[in-house]
Amino acid sequence: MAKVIVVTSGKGGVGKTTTSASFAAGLALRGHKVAVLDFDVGLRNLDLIMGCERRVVYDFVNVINKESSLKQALIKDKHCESLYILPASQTRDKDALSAEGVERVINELKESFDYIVCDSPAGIEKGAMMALYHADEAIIVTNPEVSSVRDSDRILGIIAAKSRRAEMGEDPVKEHLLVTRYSPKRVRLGEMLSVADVQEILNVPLLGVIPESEVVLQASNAGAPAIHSAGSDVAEAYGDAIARFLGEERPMRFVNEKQGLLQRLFGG
Amino acid sequence: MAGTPDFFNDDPVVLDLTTIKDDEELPNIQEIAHTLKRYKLVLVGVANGSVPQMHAAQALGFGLFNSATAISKKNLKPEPPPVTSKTKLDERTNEQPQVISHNSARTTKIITTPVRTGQQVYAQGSDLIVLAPVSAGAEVLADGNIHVYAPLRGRALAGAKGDTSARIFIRSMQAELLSIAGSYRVINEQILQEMRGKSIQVYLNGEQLLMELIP
Repeated sequence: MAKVIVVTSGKGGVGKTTTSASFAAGLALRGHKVAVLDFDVGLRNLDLIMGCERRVVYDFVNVINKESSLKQALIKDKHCESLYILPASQTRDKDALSAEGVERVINELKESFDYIVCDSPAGIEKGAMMALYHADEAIIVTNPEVSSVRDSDRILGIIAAKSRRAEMGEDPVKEHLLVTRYSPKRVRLGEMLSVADVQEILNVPLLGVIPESEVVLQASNAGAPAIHSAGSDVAEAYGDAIARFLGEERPMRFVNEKQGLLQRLFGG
Repeated sequence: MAGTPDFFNDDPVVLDLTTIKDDEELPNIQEIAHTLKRYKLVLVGVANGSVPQMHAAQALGFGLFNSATAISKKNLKPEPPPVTSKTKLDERTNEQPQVISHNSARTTKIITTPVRTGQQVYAQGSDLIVLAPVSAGAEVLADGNIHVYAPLRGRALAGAKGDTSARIFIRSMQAELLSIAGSYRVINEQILQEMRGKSIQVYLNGEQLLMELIP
């Protein structure tokens, strides 16, 4: 049974697209058939992060308006066999997304994919509402700072009330917390909230912690999801998160500061 | 209503048919029920309809209610004469006892999932018990008392319809604003310094909102 996962946050710039890209790629690397959809009509980024911006012919809105078939619009990822990208339109505006159109596309994708990852835009307007509506599971991407936590709380409330599952009285959308851009040093200095603080306010099971890293910028520039930067802390962290998502146990890494040699020798 | 989409929370509703009592045409009660459901109101019965209207509703499985106002307008039937040893049973007038309607007991509203920022919970005509955190930027209201057995980080407004005896009980005080029967207090840093995280009760003394630690 195909699962629809929404990657959302409320707040902008916290790592939704970075996460959608790496999550979709990570699931595909494990052999699942994955489609990742960009719901940010007019400000599309997913194609850049995935490195397929030069291969966009048709987009999400074309499919909704029946100007192209889904098959024509889906772009096969160059790194992963079983990963396909549906880019957003760059020229239209958000009103071009219709509820019936989105439903039709998602139902068609469900026929041939295991996972459908919906990359939500920031905010709580139409694009974000469309992205979360059909979700079976939600990854709430949160930076460990007060405004991001507040916005994540808001979007959690909206998912609980306005998703299709909520409206139909079905089992609620399964919520996962992903803390991104985490810096243990800044937590120690009191500049950032700790993972425990974020969990206390949001009350949602922790899926993973992705450390702040230059690798993310390098990866976007290279047009390859960060999970492909093998050996890097971000790639490892996303790998752990995907493993936990699939039910495996993984210890939480990257939450403590790296200790220097002297610290390790003489305690601290 | 658009501003507070979560205002109703599957509240039971009795439809008063007084205004259409004299209509020939039977109302489409199922359709009305569906419309109400969209606003998260549950139609449980009808009142004050004509006899055919009430029968139609009953046939669909809805309850029949007599509203209190209807009772006061009807002529109350005289009480049956007391049964004395001299009166034979079959001489007693065979009258049905007047059904004095009663408001169904409004049970306390209990919330077990977090009240997220931007959400509002209103316990109309009853107390409210919240067993999960109330986020900053969220609101919990009740016509009666409010109990929050978890951190309250948002606002709590008790005695919303003017009941000055209403109280608020908080397990972990971090509220932004508290109000009883319209008298409110914005909780500033100074107050929070003493009370943060503590268990308190809040009540009205005249116009003043008092907060006391609960042992």
